[in-house]
This record gives sequence, structure tokens and C-alpha cells, in this order.
Amino acid sequence: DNALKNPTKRRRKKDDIDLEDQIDEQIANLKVAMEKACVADNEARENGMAATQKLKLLPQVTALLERTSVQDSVLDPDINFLQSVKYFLEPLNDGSLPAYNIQRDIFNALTKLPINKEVLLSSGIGKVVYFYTRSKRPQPGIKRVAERLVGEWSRPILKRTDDYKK
Amino acid sequence: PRDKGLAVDATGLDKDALDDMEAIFGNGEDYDWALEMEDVEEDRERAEQ
Repeated sequence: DNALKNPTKRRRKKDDIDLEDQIDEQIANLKVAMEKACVADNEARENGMAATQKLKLLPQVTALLERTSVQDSVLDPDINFLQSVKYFLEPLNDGSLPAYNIQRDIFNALTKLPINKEVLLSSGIGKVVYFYTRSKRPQPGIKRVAERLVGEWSRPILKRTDDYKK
Repeated sequence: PRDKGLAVDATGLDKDALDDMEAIFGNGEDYDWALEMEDVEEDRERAEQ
């Protein structure tokens, strides 16, 4: 009955679900490609070659992080896209950092995302961002963004006790 | 030598908040291997100069 009364609404809902599934699949595929790229780049470095696979994927990664319409999926702790983003930022096995463009574009994208406690806990991205505040290798601009993110992400966690004190 | 752990004032923080902070930002040892490699490299560069 309801379907007859309001066919357009029902139809749209189904499309929404299809679209959501499509995006989830797209993210899942990109995650696999990102993890492969991390392994490939480490192997390249070990063989004395340039690490290029992550750089090749970078435009896709930043495009997804910046697509506000899919933000719910990107930040879903179960989909855990930010865990793959963490792998992108991690130091390579030889201790070197990923290419500057990777650091710059990803840190830039992270500042624009409403990252909550759940996604921080599931992704571990806070650990690598905190590493950037301690390492001497990142350029000052990157370190500043890393410090800002650590500050922003820790504020709601520390706030509880601040409130309690007042 | 580098400071371990987060540079936050822990006084007045409850245990839950501290646990969350450690779960999110690590215990300061997660990437120590990379930081140690940095220090070794730096020492070597200094020795070469």
C-alpha cells in the first residue's frame, strides 16, 4: 500500500542503498590497493629503488577524503578507511618518511574531517600523527599541522575531566 | 634523548581519559624504531662532517 502511495520515495531509498553499497565497495577496493602500495614501496626502498606506488594512488586517496558526500562511509569505524590512511603516513622500513606530497595532501585533508573518538580508536591514525610531532624529519609546516591535529583530537577526551573540575 | 609519551599535564585527569589518550596516540613507543634510526643517522652525519 505504502509503496503505491509514494512510489518515488521508495525508489529513491533503494537507490540510496545501492549507492552506499557502491561507495563501500569502492572504499574497500581502494584500501586493498593502498595496502599493496605500502608493501610495494617498502620493497622498492629495500632494493634501492624509488617508492612510487603510494604517490600513484595519492590523488584517489585525497579525492575520497575530500568528498563530503561520502564522509559517513570514510569515517565509519567498521569500514576503517583511516587505518589505510595511517599506513600511508607511516615511516618506511628504512626509517624514511613517505614523499612530501603524501604528507602534505593527507595532513591537509585530515584537518577538514570531523574525526571523532571512535574512528581514532579503530584506525590508530592518532599514533602516526603523534609520531610526526616527535620526528625531526618532517618539514615545519607538516609538524605544525600534526601538532594541531593532536591538540584537536585530544581536546574532547581531556575535556571530561576539565568539566569535572569546574 | 626524547621525551616519552604525550606532552600533556596529567594532573587531575581521570584514568579513563588517560587510557583513551594512550589508546588513541599510543604509549610513545609505537614508532620508536623510526626515531632511533633518525638519531643513528644524525650521529653518523655529524661524525662525517
